[in-house]
Amino acid sequence: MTAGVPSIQRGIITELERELSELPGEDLNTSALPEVAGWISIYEELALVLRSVISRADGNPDAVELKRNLLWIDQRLAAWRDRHAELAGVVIDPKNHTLTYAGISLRLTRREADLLDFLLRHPRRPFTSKQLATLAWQNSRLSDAQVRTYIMRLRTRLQEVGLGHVITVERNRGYGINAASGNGSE
Amino acid sequence: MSDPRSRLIPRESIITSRLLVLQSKRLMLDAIERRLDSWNTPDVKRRFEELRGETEAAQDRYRRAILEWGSTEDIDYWVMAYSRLIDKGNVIVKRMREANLALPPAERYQVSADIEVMEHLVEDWTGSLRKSMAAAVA
Repeated sequence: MTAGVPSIQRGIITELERELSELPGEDLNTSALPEVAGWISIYEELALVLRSVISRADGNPDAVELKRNLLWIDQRLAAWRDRHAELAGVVIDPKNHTLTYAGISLRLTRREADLLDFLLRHPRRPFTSKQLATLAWQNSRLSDAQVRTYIMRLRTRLQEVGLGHVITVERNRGYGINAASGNGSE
Repeated sequence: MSDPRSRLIPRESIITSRLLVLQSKRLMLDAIERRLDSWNTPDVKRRFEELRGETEAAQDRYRRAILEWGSTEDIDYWVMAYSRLIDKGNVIVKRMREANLALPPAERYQVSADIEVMEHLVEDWTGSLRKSMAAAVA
């Protein structure tokens, strides 16, 4: 059934494009940023459950269909992560590690750019120093103190473009991002 | 790499212990609910709310235990797995529906498509859940 998802999606988009553009109560000024951040968290949870089931169900006939479901969910997750970064107005050039926000560009180190990119793609979720070292930099040997230093240095750099409060620190839980605090929509 | 806990405690024991905790909480909740009918005092009410939260948490831990430690040969595993997927899928559908009307048009098209596809997935999972439940009864 889910094998036909892309065609279903195409049909629905065309149909809704026609219908929804005429709906009343439209508020063009509403920021989608917090909503998108929320959806990313739920999609992540769903993908996590699916991955866990698939990893244990190898060989089971249900696993084939569930893998297809996961593929679609991962695609949507990636698309919403891109959209979140786009809505936050933060553009990171991965080649030269340049951050652009509100028309201002800032040159970051590779580590700083990787860290910010990772946090922007995983909003509303705190990460411990260990998790950040492994997931953002693929380097589990970095100590907590080193990660903390990188975070503090990045926060100071981000103040130069008005994004000083975008990286949040949650006691005993780790570091996260609140992109909405950067563009004044929350 | 296997979880070190699995070498120390048999998987079934973990599931059984969480089930026992859940059953105890349910019994306590039932008892205080009955008491609430006769003595609707703030203290009893507060304890009822606390126990309701604890029962939900115990239910969640039991579900997680089944998913983590249960055998995929066991029908219960699939009932639990599909229930979990349906719950999460419904949360996405609900959240997206609530937000959709307030979003700018560019977002709405995509969100509406996501809602529709997610509803199809939830439908599929519900069908699979029903099959698992029927197999459990048979």
